[in-house]
Amino acid sequence: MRDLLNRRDFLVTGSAGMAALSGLQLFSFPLSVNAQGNRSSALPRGTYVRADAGMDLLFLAGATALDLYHLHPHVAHEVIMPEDIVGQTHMVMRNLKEVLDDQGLTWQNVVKLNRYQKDLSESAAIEEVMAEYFGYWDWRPAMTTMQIRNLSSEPARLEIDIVAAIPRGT
Amino acid sequence: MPIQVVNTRNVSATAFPPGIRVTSDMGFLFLSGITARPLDLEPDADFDYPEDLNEQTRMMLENIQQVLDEAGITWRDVIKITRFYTERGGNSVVQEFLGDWNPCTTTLGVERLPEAGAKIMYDVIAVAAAD
Repeated sequence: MRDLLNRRDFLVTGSAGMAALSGLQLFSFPLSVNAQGNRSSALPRGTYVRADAGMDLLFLAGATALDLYHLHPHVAHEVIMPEDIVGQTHMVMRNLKEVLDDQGLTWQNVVKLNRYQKDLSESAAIEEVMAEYFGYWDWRPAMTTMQIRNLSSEPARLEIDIVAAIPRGT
Repeated sequence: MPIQVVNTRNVSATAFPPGIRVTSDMGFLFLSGITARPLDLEPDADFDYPEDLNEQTRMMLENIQQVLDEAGITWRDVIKITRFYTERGGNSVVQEFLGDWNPCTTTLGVERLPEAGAKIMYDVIAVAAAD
């Protein structure tokens, strides 16, 4: 049973998580515990994430379903993406993953995530896809979600930007 | 290099890099978007946001205060606030908490927030030394 749809969960829940990355301590601190205690129903927001000193930070550009590298200004033949939010979310996550992979990182390195959505009612579908990448929320970055009227291309419904923390020497 | 531009495909012509990596000796605290909703409320519990924006602002700031306290830092360690509003105001309340400290701030007027009834949401980044 999923209850990600419940938008009242503004802030977090689920048990406190710690990313086990050598040389770096990241703590995700929820201030309450999900009554269900069920991982698949756990909410995807940590109230806050603390990244300890002695690390690098990686700031990623906002990614939509548009290919990571594209011309600016946008050209019509490059603006190709599925209409459905599930397909778009996968493409967004793969774009972000390309950058994480390049730096030798995983989703567990992600400390902050901002979601820019055309429609907040698509949150549950988006979170369901995101959960596949975030190990069904065994790690939760601090997360902020907002609804905006337009993204960088007409068909885009979702943009995500993230900040990742990297242990020195990675 | 303390600042390194990420280029995953070794392409030369890109207007915007997909990522930038920086080296820092600071620890950081990233907060999720926080509203007036009490932090310890169960996710499926009902919560009626007060109509009054000042009241919502105070409750939200108390929530953030709680997180800062738990992390052992103060408003003085907050470096960036992104403020989301559906209604203008609440600034006098903010001063009670921040005093004379002004972190860099970005303010966005939005049509709605993720929770019905919420009029204000803050996204906060603070510096926090290691324990």
